[in-house]
Amino acid sequence: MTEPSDAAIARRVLAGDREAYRLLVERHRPRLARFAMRMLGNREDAEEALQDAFLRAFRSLGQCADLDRFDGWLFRILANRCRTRGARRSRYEATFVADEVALLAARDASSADLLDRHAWSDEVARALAGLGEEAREAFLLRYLEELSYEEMAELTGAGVSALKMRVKRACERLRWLLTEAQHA
Amino acid sequence: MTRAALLIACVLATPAALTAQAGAQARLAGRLDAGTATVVSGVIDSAAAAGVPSDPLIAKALEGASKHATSDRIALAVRGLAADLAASRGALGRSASEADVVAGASALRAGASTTVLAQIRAARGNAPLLVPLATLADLVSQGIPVDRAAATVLGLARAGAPDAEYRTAAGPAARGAATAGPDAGGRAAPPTPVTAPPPAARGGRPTTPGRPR
Amino acid sequence: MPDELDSVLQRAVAALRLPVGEFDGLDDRIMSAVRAEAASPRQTHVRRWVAARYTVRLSPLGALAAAAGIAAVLLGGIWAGRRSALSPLPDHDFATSIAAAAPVAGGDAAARSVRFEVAAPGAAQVALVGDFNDWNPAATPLRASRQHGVWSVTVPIAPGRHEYAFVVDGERWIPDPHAPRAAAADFGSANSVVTVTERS
Repeated sequence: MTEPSDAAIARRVLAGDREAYRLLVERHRPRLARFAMRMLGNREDAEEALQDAFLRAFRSLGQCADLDRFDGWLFRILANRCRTRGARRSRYEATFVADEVALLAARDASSADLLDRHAWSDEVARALAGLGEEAREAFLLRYLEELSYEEMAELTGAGVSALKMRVKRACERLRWLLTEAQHA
Repeated sequence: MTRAALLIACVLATPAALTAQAGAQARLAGRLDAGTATVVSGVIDSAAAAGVPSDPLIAKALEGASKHATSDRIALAVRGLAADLAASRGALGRSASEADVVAGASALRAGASTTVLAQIRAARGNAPLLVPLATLADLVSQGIPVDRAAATVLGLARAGAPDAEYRTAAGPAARGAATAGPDAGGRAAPPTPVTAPPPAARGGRPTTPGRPR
Repeated sequence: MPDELDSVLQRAVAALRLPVGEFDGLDDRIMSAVRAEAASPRQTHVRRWVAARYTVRLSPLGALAAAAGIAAVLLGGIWAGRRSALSPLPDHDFATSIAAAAPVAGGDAAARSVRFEVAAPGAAQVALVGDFNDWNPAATPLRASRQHGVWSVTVPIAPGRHEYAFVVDGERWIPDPHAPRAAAADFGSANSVVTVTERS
């Protein structure tokens, strides 16, 4: 049996089957959570943004112009939540430090390979934290979410050339930060 | 980067790098082990070539040394600060003073964006940026949402408010801190009556008033 | 994987694609909120006004005025303070790090005299550490003043934003209880902040 489409589930929700919304939550939360975590850098802020986004989407489900593109519409709501959240740098770094502690604790048990992967993930997270919000968002939309520049423009409200510039600068900065890390 | 560009960059960067390196090594020697000192010096050199002040990076490394942090942690902290300072320098421009760049990095660390930094710079014109940036960092690091803090500071900047107004605009506690007598040294913190803490237990640790968070 | 990225960034993106771990109970919490929403939308909206922090998207000054007005209404209090659009924080105890300080007599022209003070009765020694003395606990001891348990010192510091802390009895690091904290604690213990300006 094939799974129902987003549009089909959404129509059930709009018809009054509130519990059906859970199917949409479970389906889309992993991808949204990944973006929120990479964008905001800590679990607390990410959870708040996710909860907020899903609730807003539920509330305004009737206003979604094209239920066949529910996922893009929902993602835009989340991206907006992340942007207005203005996550504090301090939290981003505090999370990173906590990860580092866990990494050190795992040193005894883990294989060298696992350790290297953890260390690299931490470096990347750290480098992401070194980007400004707009640059980080642009980089993630382009390379994590793999959106086209047109889709990014629609989502952010910024122009395509501005977005290309942001992505380019984000890449330069990330490269600098990560190269520093590799030389350490 | 092309080879030629890289070479030119190295030549141009060398005087700054050498000076940074010599100064850094003098202060780091004896406080950090050789390996850590080398890593930190490397970060400082790259940062200096990018227009990032070295002093805060050296201080960060020495803070870690004094707090007995591991080599890894010190290196991470210095690199992180270098990135923040670089972002601040980018937003505030080449002509910003070192103090401005440091204050800008504080604001970024507290959650402000480089956009806001650039806006403050534009609003202040040629006036120094230390006070607006410090106010922004203070507000945000105390839990004021960054949008609100930025709006406050930008409002003051665009209105051409003098530095004193940044200190007093935020609330009653800040107003109390602004007035210092002409001959007195400035206070490091708002003058709050120092309450007598409960008597320390025999051989106990001194109690200091906890700060509400 | 996009072709235009170099190997370092490709590796970075690969790391970013990794799952971000469990979000235990988040789906349940979302559904609880959805159920509460469906039950009584208007009530929920009012509750969100009380609980939410600044979710209304107005222009910045509009948001400040709105938030202040609503805070006054909900808290049932009167906002006594400067009713200016530029002073938006009537109900928050804001401690500024900014210290206006006099120049150091006969010393470095740029430096300013800044006084640091902390209550630590029972301490045998208290030291000031900060980025202005290379965080060296031996560099700047405080003196116990006549006022019982209060230690103080005045030091020349260059204009700018500085982090500092106190070290009690050579081993306990404490921030200044009356000063703003630095945003990030890189090494675990929190630092305090002082911003030294030239007297204006």
